[in-house]
Amino acid sequence: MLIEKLALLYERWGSSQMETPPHERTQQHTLPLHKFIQSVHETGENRKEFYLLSRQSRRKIIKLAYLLLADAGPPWSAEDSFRKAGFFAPSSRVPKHEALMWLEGTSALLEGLHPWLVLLMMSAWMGLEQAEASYAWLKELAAAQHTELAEFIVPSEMADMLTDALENPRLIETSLRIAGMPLAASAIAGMPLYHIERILKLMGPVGSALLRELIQSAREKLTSEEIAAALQAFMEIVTARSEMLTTEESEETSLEEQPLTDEATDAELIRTMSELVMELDAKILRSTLATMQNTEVASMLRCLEALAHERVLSIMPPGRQKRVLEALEELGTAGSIRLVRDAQFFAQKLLAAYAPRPLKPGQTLDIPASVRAHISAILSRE
Amino acid sequence: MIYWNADLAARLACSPAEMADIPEFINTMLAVAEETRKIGPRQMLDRLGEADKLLLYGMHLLADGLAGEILEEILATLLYVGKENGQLFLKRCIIAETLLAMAEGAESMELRRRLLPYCGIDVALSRAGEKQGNAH
Repeated sequence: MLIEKLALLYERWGSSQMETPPHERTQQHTLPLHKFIQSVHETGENRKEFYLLSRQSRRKIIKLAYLLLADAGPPWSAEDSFRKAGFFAPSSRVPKHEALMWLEGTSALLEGLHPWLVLLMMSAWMGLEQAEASYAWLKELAAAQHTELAEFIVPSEMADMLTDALENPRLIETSLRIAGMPLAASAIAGMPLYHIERILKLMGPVGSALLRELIQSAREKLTSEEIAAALQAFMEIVTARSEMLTTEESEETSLEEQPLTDEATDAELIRTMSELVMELDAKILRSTLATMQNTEVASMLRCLEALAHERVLSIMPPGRQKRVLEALEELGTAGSIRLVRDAQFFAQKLLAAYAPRPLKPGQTLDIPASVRAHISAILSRE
Repeated sequence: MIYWNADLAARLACSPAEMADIPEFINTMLAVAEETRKIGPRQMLDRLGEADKLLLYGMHLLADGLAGEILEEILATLLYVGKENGQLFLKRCIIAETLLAMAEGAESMELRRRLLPYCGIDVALSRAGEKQGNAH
């Protein structure tokens, strides 16, 4: 939840008052930031180049950022390095926001995020005005770096389904956002160019340029099977969205006919959801729950048998368990339609958790067959 | 769990008169979200015109396909480093929450559920009760 994220920022980093006046930020921070991002984007995976860039940088904090990228250590190690270098000490000459900006950017790059996305995250640390200025710069960069895509078709049954789904642009737009850029790019990399261009037109200038690059990268790094698997995962998200939209529409029109709560339980749904939860790998379940709010987890718990209920709770820290149970108590009972929607929402989040960010070369989307069957059964419910 | 923090609480503090405006503002955001669902963020940008800068910026990010953790990170950071306090800060939080919900395609009822707590517990409960009554 947003307010939770904000509270954590305060908890971790204290007061947010920026020391540098806005008019000084451009010269001091924004220009070096743009130069850094551009150099990272151009360098790509050539890590030796980062050592050279580090030597050429005058500012210690930027030197450190390049060095960490050259070493390609785990993302969590960046904070350790920044602290040891003294950038968060009270005596540090680097303003706190600037240090946080470079730390976040370095960590995000080490996680494998695209430099343009990292720029958007980093520029936020300088305030809305600077973020807008960086966005404008990125738009110009995106316009100048047009990636030309050639025709490259990967035969797939899902391709026809996506073609049909393109008749509903809003559905595809939302599905692209939910899936995330890497999965979306891998999914459409094998579609006919005509359809790719239609999808790209749905996005803003930065998004479409970024997606082009990622499509090109997916074509170079993934096998046809992996691209087809990505398309299948993406289509499951599209289908889930489509069914949710249909359910919402029918709920709105039939609200007067339906009682507020429907006492009948849906035994089959509960059994399917419970089996799904019990079969899930703990890591996947944990990461899916991490993307859900407490009320959403509580809603999902209503769709589970006791043993699966226990599993979900046991995977959470005690503090969160308590909050989810409190939310569950407040929610009360739900009608069968609500249960189906909650289950489908969980299935959607689960699909997104299976899609790694970013999709690394040689990595396949790996959903066990039985889990996939349960997800399909839930998503196909009306 | 929301960690209690004095600085954040101080920024969120509003007078009763300021809080009285919030439900109406939430209704406005619900309408923006509903319209964006129908026409998409790119077309919505043309309609928003001279709206709040955070709303406009966030809508650009939505149009470019941002959602989830990255969008939340950006919006939370912008709120954290911003200079707004009181009602304006509260409204910006509501805007950010709306953007996040739009990005993931949350439907109106879900968005309403997420935004009502910003009114404060009493108003949130009474509004939730009103909605249930209307449904009957």
